[in-house]
Amino acid sequence: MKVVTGVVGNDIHVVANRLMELSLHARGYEVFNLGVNTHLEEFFDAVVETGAEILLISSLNGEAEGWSREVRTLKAKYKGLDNLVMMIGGNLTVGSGNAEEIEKKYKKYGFDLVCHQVDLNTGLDSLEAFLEQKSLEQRSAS
Amino acid sequence: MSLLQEEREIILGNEYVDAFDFEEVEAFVKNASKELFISHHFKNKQKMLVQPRGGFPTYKKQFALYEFFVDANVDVLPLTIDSNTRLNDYGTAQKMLRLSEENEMDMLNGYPLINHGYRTTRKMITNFNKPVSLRHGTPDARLLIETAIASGIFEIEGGPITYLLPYSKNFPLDKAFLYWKYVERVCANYSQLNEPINRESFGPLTATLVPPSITIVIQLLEMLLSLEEGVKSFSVSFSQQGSMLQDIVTGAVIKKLAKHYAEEIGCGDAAIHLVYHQWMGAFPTNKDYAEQLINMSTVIASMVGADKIITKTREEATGIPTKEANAKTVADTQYTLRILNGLPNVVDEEEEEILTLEVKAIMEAVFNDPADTLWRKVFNSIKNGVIDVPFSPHIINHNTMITIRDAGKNIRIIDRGNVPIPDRCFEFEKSKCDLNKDTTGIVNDIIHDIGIMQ
Repeated sequence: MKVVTGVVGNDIHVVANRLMELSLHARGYEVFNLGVNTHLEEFFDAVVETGAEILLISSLNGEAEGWSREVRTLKAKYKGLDNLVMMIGGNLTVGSGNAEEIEKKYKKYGFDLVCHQVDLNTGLDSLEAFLEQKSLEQRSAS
Repeated sequence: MSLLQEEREIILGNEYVDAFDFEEVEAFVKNASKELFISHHFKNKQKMLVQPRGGFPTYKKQFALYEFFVDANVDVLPLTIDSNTRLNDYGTAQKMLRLSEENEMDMLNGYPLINHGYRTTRKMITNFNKPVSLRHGTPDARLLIETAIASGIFEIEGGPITYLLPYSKNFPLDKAFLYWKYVERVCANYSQLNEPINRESFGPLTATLVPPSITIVIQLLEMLLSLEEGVKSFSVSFSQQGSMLQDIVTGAVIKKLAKHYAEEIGCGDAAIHLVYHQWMGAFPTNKDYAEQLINMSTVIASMVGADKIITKTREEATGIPTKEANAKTVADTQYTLRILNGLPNVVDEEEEEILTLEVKAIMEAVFNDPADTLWRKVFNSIKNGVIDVPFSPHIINHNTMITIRDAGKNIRIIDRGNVPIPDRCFEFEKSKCDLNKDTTGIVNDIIHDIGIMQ
């Protein structure tokens, strides 16, 4: 499966981004890593260009909060992204916040999976579980 | 008029510069006190020089910081530049400076030197009469270093590779080389008037599992790029790596090879110094532990035989340090240096040999690039992955080399990527590591290896 990933906004924190690339690759995904300092449009452009099934956005400095509000409107401008699995992880708020509320908020923004301060492998496990569930549902629907 | 002078006049005609007086600045440098030149202190030094970090937006706060440092018996004062100025955004820096002055609240993470100007800043520098080191991170530092030297700042940190690969995603690397060529030439020209201007490279790079071979190669190349333009005083540097032995070996090899390659290009007359950075990676949030770490760094710097040490503070994990915490580190470090006597001479011949072979192999690959000038050879070598900096955010960097720590916490290369590490050295590096792990295991190890000091 193809994954587009990167760090959103003017965030330059690169370490986790590199480790995510390594881990995704090891789990058998085809990874398109846009690196740090990536703007929302670039993510969606890359999804269209590569035909990726998964978009995995990360944030360390909490900037994601501001950017994510525009996700739904922006995504709607692109045709054929309805089946795209949207995941976001990292530090999803500036300062501190309640994980449950953060998760709710980001789901409203249009993300299927929200990992606020979850370690890398747990996060990727939850992605795999989600994908499995999704394919089961699709099979039973058809 | 020379091409360089024409370019200087364009650069200094910037709208944020208040009438740059070339003749007056030249006369100032010519007659400046020797005390302002770190190269003069290196020549006559009795001990390792201690330099903290620090920059505040307003003149008043910067002056107060220097007073604290001088009270703590500092050897070299820092001037850290704010991030807007680093990106040549003097308009935003101006606005934020005004807000900082009006509100007693810092709106910048450093001193906006261009906006303060050289006439004002020079008053502060000559008042303290200590050498000042310019710390920034600017790919295009042409205006910044002109203003710095005119202010009496006679040490300039940075370089086209070390100020770009750790900090930027897509600033063009070839442009950075050309902008830094200007910096080297201006430094070289001013060096003929009085004591030499010292250039210093930024060895810590990303401070994240960078193997010593890559650090040394980049230090040597920035040194050569500087010396070939006529710079006569240069500092190579690196930061604490996590293993005392690896630091000692790195220090020995970098000193030996810096001299070797300087002589190779006919610049053996230049003075080369070694600078050691206290731990640059993730710091413990426990402030007492942070002080222990800082103290240990000072001990290792002594074992390495550094000419200058650059300090951290107990508040490293929390944000921009206060002037009190910053001055405390200076006093503590001076104390440790004073009581640290009778150091043993540690040599590990095998490790030195392996590291020397690695550096020489990469250097040779760079020199063998078919390009016509050194900077183009280096540019191509970074582009094709002969030089690969782990965890650089820059798009030109290859990111294929993988490093982890061995049992002694030495940084080892387990995947060479495109870097020409000789087979024998690669086998040696791998033999020190447990390679029976899957990628998940290795990723977990890397996460652990990055956070070893926390």
